[in-house]
Amino acid sequence: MSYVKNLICNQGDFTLDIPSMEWPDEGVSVLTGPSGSGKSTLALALCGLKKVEKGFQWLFKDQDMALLSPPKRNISFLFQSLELFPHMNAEKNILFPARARRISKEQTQERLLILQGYLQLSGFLKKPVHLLSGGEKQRVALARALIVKPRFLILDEPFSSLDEKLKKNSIQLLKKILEWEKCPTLLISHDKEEIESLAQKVFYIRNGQLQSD
Amino acid sequence: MGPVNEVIVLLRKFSIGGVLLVALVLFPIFVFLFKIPLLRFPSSFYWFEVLLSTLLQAGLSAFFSVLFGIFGALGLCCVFPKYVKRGGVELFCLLPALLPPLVPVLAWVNVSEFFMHFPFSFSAVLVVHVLMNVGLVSVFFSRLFCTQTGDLSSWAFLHGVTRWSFLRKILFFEMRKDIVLIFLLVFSFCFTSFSIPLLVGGASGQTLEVFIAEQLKNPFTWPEAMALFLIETIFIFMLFSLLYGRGEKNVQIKDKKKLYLLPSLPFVVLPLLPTLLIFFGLADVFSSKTIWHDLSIIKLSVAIAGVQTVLMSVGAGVFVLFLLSAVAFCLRDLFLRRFLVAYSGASAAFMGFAFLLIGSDGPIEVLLKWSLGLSFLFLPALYRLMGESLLRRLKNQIQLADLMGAGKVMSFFKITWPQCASTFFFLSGIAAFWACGDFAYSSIVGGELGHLAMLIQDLFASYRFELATVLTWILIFIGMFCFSLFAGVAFVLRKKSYL
Repeated sequence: MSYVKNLICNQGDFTLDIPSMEWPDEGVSVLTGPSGSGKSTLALALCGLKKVEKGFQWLFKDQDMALLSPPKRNISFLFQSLELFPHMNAEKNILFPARARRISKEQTQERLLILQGYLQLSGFLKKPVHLLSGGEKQRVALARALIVKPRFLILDEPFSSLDEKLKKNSIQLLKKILEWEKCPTLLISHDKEEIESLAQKVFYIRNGQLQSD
Repeated sequence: MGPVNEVIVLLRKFSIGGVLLVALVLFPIFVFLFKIPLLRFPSSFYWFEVLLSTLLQAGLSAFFSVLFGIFGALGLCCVFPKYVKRGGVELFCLLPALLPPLVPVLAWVNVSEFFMHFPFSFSAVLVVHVLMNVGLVSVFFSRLFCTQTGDLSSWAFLHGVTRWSFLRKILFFEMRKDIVLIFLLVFSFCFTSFSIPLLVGGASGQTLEVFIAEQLKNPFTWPEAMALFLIETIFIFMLFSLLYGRGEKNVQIKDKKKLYLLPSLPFVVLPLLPTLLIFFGLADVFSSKTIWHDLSIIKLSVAIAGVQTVLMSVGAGVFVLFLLSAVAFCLRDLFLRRFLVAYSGASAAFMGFAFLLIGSDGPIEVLLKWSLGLSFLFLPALYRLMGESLLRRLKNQIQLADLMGAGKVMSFFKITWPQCASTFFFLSGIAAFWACGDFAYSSIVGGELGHLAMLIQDLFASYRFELATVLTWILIFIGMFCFSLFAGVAFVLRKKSYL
């Protein structure tokens, strides 16, 4: 299990206050709640991209993640806007985290081949990202998030910009690859279909506070 | 220990590079601080009169620029959807604000000479500031009207609201924050303006900047100059701090909406007139027969000054490119970036005297001082123009790259630089173009060297407007050449990238 304690994040007139939270070390946990309830703030705080008050602890596989710097936490984050690097092609986007973490070329290529198979990337790897469709961009962003075998994956409303058909396909694809990767995932969503298809545990957040497990 | 700890935490947040960069930009102040034991206000209250006169001048300039600019925008709204492409007209309107001040001022003086002797006074400063800014304000508001008021104007039209009621009760009320914002921006520009009051101000048009420059001429009055400069800088700093991030609206026009109740074609003359007058004022000179003879007498000095202008301008462009890259690399800290946005830039006079006090005045040193000083002067304006919004757009990408484990160097070279290089080269081109027309700063540092703008200013001061105008054409061509060197690289980079 993964335990979070004393996660307090002040943002002027909004405060995220999570005294304790726990979720399984594998599978998909979903964080849901109305807009402005603090879902994304919680995710960013877990990554270390939001400043939190002293006393925060995140015990994950016998390690306190709160003591590590954001890069050392080895968390992959999929923004709602995907944030693909627009000046690179799909392949360079995917390989960027591996280069940043100085993973050997052989290992990276091996990993890319696997992801290419799972996410059906081969048709557009060399294409610049602005020429990709919404679904293709989504798969590139997911491959980029998974290329370094992250310790933990956070997905912030990843399907919100897709149409219904594409969303269904993407959910199935995500389910398949997460089962295979066995990477613990926190999915932020308020879509019923996504929650029903993927969630092993659901958290409901409102006004910066968890309502029930 | 509380406050001490807070200071330590704050200092830790700044990168050393960022602090060094800010120190570099602020260095003229440090040069004088080492030379001046204490600050002192001038003994007579003349400085206070100058301050009030500058405030009045800046306030009136901003008021009339905004007033004419809003009505000009109504005219532009009428022209755009139907007849012409937006980019060309906007550039035409923006020319007076983009050209080095020497060029439009000379042209407008030429035009006025048809009717009367140009009044070198307070009112002349006011008129020149309004003519320079009215196009800029018009373009800003026309974009705002096109993007923000489309549906509102349709709704009002359907409900039978009259044009005047729509403007007065809905549009101006809705846009009041933007009106105040642009007023303050123009105000700050007119308040710190140096070269325009120097050119056309005469005795009654003296501004605080010119007064500071006069105080700096005498080492005994440096403490007074420093005190006044600090007042001016703090005032502008507070103004921009208030404005930071408040005017960030998307004014990119994607679709052409029909604007009911807004367009008023006759008003289009307001933003177009200043540029038309520039062309008219500069073109007339070729009718003179003696001008070529006069020019042949000074051709050698013109050639030497021309070469020095090119070297100075390219140098300024290169330094601006370096400084913008350093800002992108070092200033990831919001506080320091906010500082750069709020900092109006050292006054030209202050920068000039600071450079005069350090180093020798050999030709190479003077060229370097020109280029470096001008790059310091232009950096804050150029950064505000495009740099800040560009770096803000990259914030999430850089955060993500950090999270992926990319270090600062990798983030810069793989994420920031490829996406900023084209814009940075373009901004450097603008700096090179502006540098061509500077005479206020470079004449203080000058030593025995002189470039084309200084030559033109000498001719202008001795009322030889025709010869000055011919040289202005040469200056414009040199400026365009220097600009195209950088803009060319920017174009190639943009074509090569996927952006």
